[in-house]
Amino acid sequence: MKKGWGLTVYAVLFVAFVYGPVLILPLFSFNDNTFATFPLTGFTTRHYVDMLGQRQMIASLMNSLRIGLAVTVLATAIAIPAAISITRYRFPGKPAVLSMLMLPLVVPSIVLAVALLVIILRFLGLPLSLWTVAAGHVLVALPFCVSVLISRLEGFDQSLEEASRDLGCSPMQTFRRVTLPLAMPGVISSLLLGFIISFDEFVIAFFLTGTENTLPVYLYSQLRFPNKLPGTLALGSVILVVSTVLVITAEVIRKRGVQTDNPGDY
Amino acid sequence: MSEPLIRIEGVTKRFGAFQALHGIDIDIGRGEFFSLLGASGCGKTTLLRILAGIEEPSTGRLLIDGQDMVGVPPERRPTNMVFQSYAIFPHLNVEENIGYGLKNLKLSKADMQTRIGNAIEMVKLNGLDKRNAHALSGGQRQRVALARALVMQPKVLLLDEPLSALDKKLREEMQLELRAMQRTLGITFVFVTHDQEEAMTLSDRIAMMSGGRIMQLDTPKALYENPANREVAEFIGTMNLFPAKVTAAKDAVLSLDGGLLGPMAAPAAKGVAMGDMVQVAVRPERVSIEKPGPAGINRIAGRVKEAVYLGDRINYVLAAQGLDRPILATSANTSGEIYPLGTEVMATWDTEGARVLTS
Repeated sequence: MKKGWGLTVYAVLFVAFVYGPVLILPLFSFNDNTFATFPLTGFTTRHYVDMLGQRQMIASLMNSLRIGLAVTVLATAIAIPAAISITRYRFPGKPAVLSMLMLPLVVPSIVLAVALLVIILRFLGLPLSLWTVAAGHVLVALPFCVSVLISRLEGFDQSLEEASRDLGCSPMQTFRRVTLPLAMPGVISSLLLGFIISFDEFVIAFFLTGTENTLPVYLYSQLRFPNKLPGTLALGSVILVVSTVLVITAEVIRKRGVQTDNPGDY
Repeated sequence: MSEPLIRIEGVTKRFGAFQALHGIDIDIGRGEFFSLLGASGCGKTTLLRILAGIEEPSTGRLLIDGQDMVGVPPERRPTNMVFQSYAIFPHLNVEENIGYGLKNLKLSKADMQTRIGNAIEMVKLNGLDKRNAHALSGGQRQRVALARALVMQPKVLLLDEPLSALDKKLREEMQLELRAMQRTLGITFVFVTHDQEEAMTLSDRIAMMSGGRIMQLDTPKALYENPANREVAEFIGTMNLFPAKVTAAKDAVLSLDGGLLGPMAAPAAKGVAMGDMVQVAVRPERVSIEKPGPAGINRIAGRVKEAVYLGDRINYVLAAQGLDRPILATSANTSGEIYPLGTEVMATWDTEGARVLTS
């Protein structure tokens, strides 16, 4: 008997446990049956055609895409200066500032959602809309974006920025010519991460949206209608493929960044 | 010295509770090769970074070419630096790295090309113009860093241990090249190193630093021949130290009592008076080894503990009564004869070869 077979079994079970439920989605989306049950009854692509016909679903998908885009650009733009000040400057109370930046990570989103609802309706008197959802999502995405950027900015030799200043560049020129190009893999990771967090978010969107829905909220509302389910499965499969491609791309970019960064390791 | 190019006056630097520099005063002349020498943590790099403008002094003044530099950011100082890590921009190739600072000077394309070309020529990187930063060897990276700083035609070139990452042979080669380059260009070099031999090889003058203070500022020869204190004496080369008490001072010669080590004599030194406890310092090459003989002035009996044959010379390690540390002696190999281990011998030296250290 080979050593370590126990670990192999463990690994197989682990992968099955994590990916099994996810892979059910594409499986049933091609099954020629309105109900998602075994045994499978035949192959079809009609659910995908149905999906395209569901105008409300497509509208909520577009809403989610728009919010996701706005959120990730905004969150990353806010996170860049925050990450720079954390990694480049000495200032009093830095650990406290850092933990405050990370706090939304541990606050349950239901608590955050209620708090935001109260603030928006009571104190600000704003109507609920996709914009209020986006604002909430920026808050949730921010700590992720900041931590991705911090690890990136810590990863390269800070004397590069000093060298740039020494060679005649102002702090702004240094940011543009050295810091930003070198932080680019981190910026791209941050953009992808922010987008996925917003796209996937349910609780805050559910509380803070007005008359229009984001995709997760829409899907939840459709669970009562069994005949809509196959279209949902089809859409879910499409999203699964697209997000897998995005995540792999992000990882490849990050890895490539790490490789070209440390030519000094000889 | 005529009007100095760099004047450092009462510069201190504090990082929180840590005092990195205590009141540093240095004048550095035009075209001088000046070294800041000391162990790590002595403040030499902090002082260099203050010259570059990367750090600001907590108190004190800094003038370069008559201009007050305090508060002037690094990009507006007539200094350029070669960083210890070289800080080669990894996203740019050799040519782009060297031309990095020139882009701010609004030169014509032709001028820029000429200057980059000359710099590449000077550091012997011909043919590597388009090579990516991460495809360069350590020595090549060091050359890019040097070219990138020199191409800016600074009044002062600052070098932060630029050779410490290179292997011994390459380092020695670069030392000679640096020295030749500095002579040709006539630029003032301020060079930080912890390697005393490197500092001696390169420098016109050396400031030996310790604990954020300057221990001694002198030519390499004076630092070696007349160290100001024990720390300098032991950092630069090796030094035998014999504790003794001053018994008489006459005709510029001190008489000393070394207890078990016997009577000694040494040239008079400033601030040394009768009755003082001092250290008599003698370089190993000043100590000669003789067959056992009668006791006398500057004669210590010892036994050979180790004899290292180096061809042109022999390094002896002697054990002597009344001394915790062994006596080190370097003899030129003139006769091919070695005193074997365990031999009783006599270590002796001339009075002029000894120095008296009070601290």
